[in-house]
Amino acid sequence: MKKIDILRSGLFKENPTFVQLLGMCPTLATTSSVKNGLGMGLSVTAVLMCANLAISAIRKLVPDKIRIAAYVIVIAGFVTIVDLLLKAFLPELSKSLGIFIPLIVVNCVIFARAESFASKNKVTDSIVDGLAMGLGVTGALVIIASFREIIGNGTWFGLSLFGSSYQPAIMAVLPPGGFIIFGLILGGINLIRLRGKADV
Amino acid sequence: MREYIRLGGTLCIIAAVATLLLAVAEHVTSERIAAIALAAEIKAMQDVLLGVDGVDEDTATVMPQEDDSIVSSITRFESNEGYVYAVNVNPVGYGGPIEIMVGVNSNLEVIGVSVIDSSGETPGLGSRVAEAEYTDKFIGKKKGVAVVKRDAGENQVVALTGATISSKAVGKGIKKAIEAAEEAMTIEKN
Repeated sequence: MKKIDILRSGLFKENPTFVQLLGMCPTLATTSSVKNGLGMGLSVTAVLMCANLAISAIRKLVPDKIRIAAYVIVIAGFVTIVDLLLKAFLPELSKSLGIFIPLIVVNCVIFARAESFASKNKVTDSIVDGLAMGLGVTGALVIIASFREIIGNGTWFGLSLFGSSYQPAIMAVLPPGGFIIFGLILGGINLIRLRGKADV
Repeated sequence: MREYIRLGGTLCIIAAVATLLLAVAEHVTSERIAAIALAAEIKAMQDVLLGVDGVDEDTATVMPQEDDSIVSSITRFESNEGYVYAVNVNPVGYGGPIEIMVGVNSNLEVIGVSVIDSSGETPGLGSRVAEAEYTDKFIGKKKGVAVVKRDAGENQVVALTGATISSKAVGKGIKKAIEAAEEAMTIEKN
């Protein structure tokens, strides 16, 4: 498979967040600010690449019957390493992402890629797939978080945009606003996809 | 039978490799993580005792305390204004414990409040309890301080709109901190 096709499929055609709708809980929970969304996206990318690499490397050694158990150990191991590294080197980010970093263990984006891609493809392709899917998630989280932070807090990446007279609509950073904004973005994307029918 | 041994053996090997990698990661990061937690605590102590004249950092003494789920440590310092206490409390807020450092002087008045960790609170609502605009309201308050929804009396503070639970948790933590400092003083006298 061509690397460029793998990249395109992760970023656009099969974008885990906007097209496959995988991992919705952390998506909504960590997009209350761009900084959190970006941090979560990059953490997922790191875990995806490492997990895809390891799972692809051992795909011929692991008997089919215990593959899920093996994946869980591999993924949980990498997530814990990322969690420790964040705590040690980016303590602020680690604090604000809180429980959602350990919860990457059960993030279905990562399982889906392990099961449907890494366990069937070469190591190099699997790494590219992890990168593509990870960046797909990161891009999606940043887009959702941008809308929520600008509307709900009047800032982007912590930078104040409108001055002190702006009254932010706090609801956008709360869970209900997250659902509504995510729904509107999905609607917008589907509209564009339907218009440019050829790409569907 | 051989099949089971093969399956179990493979899983064992994978788990062993994962454990080894984790041990390495833990070894590399554990010191840094501990140092970061300590630095945050020291910074908070300095913040809450900022207004006190001549605090001698070398006189830091960890005080005895009764078992309490909220108060996690009491540290006493000598200063030109007598003993001052930095009390670390962890009252439960809306989404988990809020870590707060409270400065208390020997008249049992609050002299400073610094919220170390309020990451469990709702962003934009409960998280505002960490801002000085709210925490400064507690300065000068005494034993029995309480958070009320409106019409604050002499030893009371008005809760933040839309964040009553977080506001009350901070108030409870500060109240406990004053009691803990008093306790530490009486234990020492005896």
